[in-house]
Amino acid sequence: MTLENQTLQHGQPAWDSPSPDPAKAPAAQEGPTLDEFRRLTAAEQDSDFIAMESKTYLQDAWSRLKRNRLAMFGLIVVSLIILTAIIGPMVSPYAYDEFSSSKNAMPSAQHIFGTDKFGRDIFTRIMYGARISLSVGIAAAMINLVIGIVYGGIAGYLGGRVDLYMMRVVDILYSIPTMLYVILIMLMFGANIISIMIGICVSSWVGMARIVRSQVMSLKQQEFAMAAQVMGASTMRILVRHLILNSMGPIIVTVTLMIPQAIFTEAFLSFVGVGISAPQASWGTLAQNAKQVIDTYPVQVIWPVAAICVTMLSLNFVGDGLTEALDPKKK
Amino acid sequence: MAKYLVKRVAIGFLTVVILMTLTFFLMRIMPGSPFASENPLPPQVQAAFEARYNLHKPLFHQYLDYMGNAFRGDLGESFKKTGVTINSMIASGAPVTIRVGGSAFLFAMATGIFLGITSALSKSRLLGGFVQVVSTLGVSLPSFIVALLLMIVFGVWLGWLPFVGLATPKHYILPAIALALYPIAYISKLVRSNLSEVMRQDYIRMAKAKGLSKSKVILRHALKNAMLPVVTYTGPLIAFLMTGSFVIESIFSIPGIGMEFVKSITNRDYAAIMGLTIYMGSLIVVCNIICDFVCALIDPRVKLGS
Repeated sequence: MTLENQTLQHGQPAWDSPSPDPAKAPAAQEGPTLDEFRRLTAAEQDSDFIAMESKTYLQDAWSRLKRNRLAMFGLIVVSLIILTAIIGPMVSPYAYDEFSSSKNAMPSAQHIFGTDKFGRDIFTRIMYGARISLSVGIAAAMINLVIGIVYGGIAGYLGGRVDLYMMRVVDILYSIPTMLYVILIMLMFGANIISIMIGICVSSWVGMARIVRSQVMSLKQQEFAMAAQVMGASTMRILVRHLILNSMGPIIVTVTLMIPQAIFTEAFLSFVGVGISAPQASWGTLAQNAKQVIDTYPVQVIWPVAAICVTMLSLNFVGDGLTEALDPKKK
Repeated sequence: MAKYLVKRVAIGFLTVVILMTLTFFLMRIMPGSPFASENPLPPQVQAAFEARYNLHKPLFHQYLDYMGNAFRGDLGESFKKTGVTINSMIASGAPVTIRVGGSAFLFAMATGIFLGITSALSKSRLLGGFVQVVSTLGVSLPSFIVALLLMIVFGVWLGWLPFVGLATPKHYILPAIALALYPIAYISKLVRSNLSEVMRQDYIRMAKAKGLSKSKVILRHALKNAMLPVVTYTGPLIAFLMTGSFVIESIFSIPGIGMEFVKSITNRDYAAIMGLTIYMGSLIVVCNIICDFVCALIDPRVKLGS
């Protein structure tokens, strides 16, 4: 009996390091009779040697993600959009609030996306809008991440009465449609980028908190958490190093999917008229402005709509890819 | 059962009270008076306005008055349109919103369930791919983007469908599709995964072994069990359609509650914003309670009161 089949299980840490003496390698399978035990022949000496390098969890996930074409496509598109948002406005010959005499111009060599009713270059405004939309999305997702982890982690780890009350609060917030109170918050703090972030965060940390809580609750009953406790690790250490780090997969996925959600909320608010105020413009404002001239200049609507579509789709592709890459069991 | 219902209603009631309190105080601590304009009002007029809208009393008194009136079904009067009550705004807007939202609801349910069932049962890769594309697009594209796209393609370029107002049944098509795309994507995914799960269960094999016809197995045994999550989803779906109506109604110029709400936001008509928020919030809470209760009624596996 050889150990050939075990060489395939490179994912299991127990088999990761090649045993120095193959003869002493344990026979894990049950049932072999005594006469099946024999010294390995010279040709079989290397049979439990693992050629594959051992990989960390993230390396493994990355290699799985690389094989997902749609997710890689999304990742490339998102990176291109981010690059354009950073560099684009710097190299553009126009400023985002620069008026010119050619109003409502069709796309041409000078203005590749044309100009709006004030003669502003739409391409520059889209690139500038990308800055606002993306930074709102990313910042909101990051703040949610922190609030969600702290709140969900505490509720999940402490459990019992504390958890009951903390989750009641979450349930109540969850049952009120978020748009309603985001709009109220926007009205209160005024239309600027900071209040949009506050509004989005107040409404959407709830989802993250629920996910972290359920992860922590199931993980804290596993043996490694008990082992850490027995070894005298502090509550903080168990929570952060063992429970939160082990739920990183679902957390990363939720964050990725939160970014398009936040971009959508921002675009929605700007579209309704409580978002970014003029002359600054996010994609939502641009769509709203273009909508007013949809009868006469329908081309103008295409650009912001396309920008939002492409970004949302790409981020969703990345999110779906990450779900599969980070949780191979789920598939 | 009764205990569960009471508990659920109590929590719902608490939610509505919290929503009302939040709305009230958020609106009152808002910087600036609702009557602020370029030309300052004479003090007498200001005082008369404040007396009319009950703003001269201490804040806590105003709060109690407001809550009392709201529970008696009186949501007050608009700050900007004199003489128009919030109740009359709701009375004129709600039927329109219900018609548009209702057609989107039916469309989403029918299409979503149909796509879900066919893609779960058929082995055709083309159909599977189609459903995949629809659900990816539907889940990732915001409804107002879909609305603008539909408007440009079918309204402006092709000129097939009208896109302003609600004059004829044809006018309902674009708003209903724009509102329904996300729910369609969600429902078809839900039905598909549940139905394929149910089809692997032992009782389906049992039904097949008994010699029932394929349609009977699917309709009577599989679908009944696969539909439960769809019933659970109706609560969130109604909430979605209601908030979705804000943009859809303003894009397509439909005079429903959503457009009224967006208008009062641009006019800074705080009384209307408050009243409509409370109305929609409570409606959603009630829908969720009904939905949970129906689920508990039809599914014996849902444990009550736990």
